[in-house]
Amino acid sequence: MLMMYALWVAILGSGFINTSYTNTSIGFYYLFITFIGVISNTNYWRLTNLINSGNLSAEIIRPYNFFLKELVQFIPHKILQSLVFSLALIIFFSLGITIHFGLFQIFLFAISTFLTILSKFYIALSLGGLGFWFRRVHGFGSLFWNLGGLFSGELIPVDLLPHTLFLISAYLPFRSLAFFPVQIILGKINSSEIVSGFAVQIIWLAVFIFIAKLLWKKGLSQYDSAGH
Amino acid sequence: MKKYFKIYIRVFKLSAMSEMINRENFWTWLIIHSMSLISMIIFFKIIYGGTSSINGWTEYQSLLVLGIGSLVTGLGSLTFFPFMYNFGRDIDEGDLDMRLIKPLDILYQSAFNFVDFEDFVVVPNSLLLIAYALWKLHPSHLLINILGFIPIFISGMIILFSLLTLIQSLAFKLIRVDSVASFYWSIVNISKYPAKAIKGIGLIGITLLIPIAVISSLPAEILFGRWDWIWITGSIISAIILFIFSRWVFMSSLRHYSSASS
Repeated sequence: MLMMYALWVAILGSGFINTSYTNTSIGFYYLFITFIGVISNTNYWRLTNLINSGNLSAEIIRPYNFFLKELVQFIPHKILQSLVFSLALIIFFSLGITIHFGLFQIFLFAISTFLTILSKFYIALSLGGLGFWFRRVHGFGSLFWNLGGLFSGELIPVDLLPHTLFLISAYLPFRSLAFFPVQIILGKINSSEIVSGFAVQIIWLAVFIFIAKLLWKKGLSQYDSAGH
Repeated sequence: MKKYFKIYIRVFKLSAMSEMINRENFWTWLIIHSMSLISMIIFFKIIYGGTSSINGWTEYQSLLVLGIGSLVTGLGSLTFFPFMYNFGRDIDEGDLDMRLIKPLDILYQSAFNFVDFEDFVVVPNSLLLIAYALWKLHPSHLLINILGFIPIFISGMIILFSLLTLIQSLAFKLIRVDSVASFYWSIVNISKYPAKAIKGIGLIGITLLIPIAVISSLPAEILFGRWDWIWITGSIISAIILFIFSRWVFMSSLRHYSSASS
């Protein structure tokens, strides 16, 4: 995050045109995009390991919803990450680097971030669930997230992408997983774009839930394990 | 020395055989790394679409840094990067005992225990990018530049190895340094950006960027014919001092190790 910020300071200082970003707004952009990346990150390898080791059997026979348990166990970690992020924000503000956002903006940002966390959780379930068919799945995960790096805004703000790539990004889920929440908090989109953005986020979430449930249903139907 | 080279060749062959069991995995990683590199090239194309240079660094000079940064990833995976993955677990589970009883250098055994072919596949891509950037830059005295590039590139790799050795030495005290891999990867990844182009972020920021600049920006500068003798001398001296120091720290930290297997 710091490297991207430092590089952008150099880029903007070199007279970069085609942008409405300033040193401060690009700093906050990468701060928020990093926060969303960190807080929504879900480890899918663990799920694959559970499948490959056979330990999943012990999990699925227990009287609770396995998906819900997986989701809930991350909450303390997410709270801790949010506190660290709040500290980073305080440091920014104490250095005189400020940005203005209202309570309603924070509320919308929180909802959008929550939807991102849920979406990435179901994506992780899908990627991890590939372990029913493949022994090593981290290649699939990296493929998915590498593609996402360019279109989610993590590498470069999506609004700076060339027109064709910008149009492509509209048909992919990545933009709504990172760029959209950041646009809300930076106040760069109007109310109609916020409404349509939330609709897109919810549609993609529904798609990811459907894929994850389908994969796990198919996977569990052919799953067997042996142990002592 | 010959003995260690033979052992490395054996490790290389075993790792290659293991990787070839999952050939589809190898091709998947080739696609992943190609996409990742293309994303970075698009990033620089967009940046240089809006400005002709970043503090004197042109588009193809930056692409050269990207190529060299990617080459660092590939060659690091071929040699000592696996050191960052399982060392803490080996200490935790007492697996280091087996290594200690072998008549081989313990640091060598810990660092060169397998070859990570998944990331090695970036090497051909990065070499292609370096060749493309050099073709566009058409520097004079390319052969001399390449001869100067090799020792400076090796210095950068030694500095990276020494940093990893220092970080992993903590594992003897802290046992699990879980975030080592992600921290170290972030250092490796930011070496793909032209760190020497960054200015105006304060003394602390610039100081932190010096090792990053030495790893990839400095070798790139030499390749396109900008010989910064202060940096070159600093890089070689730092590599020697850091290597000796990190090895001393590792060996001293080893005294804190007690077997966990019994």
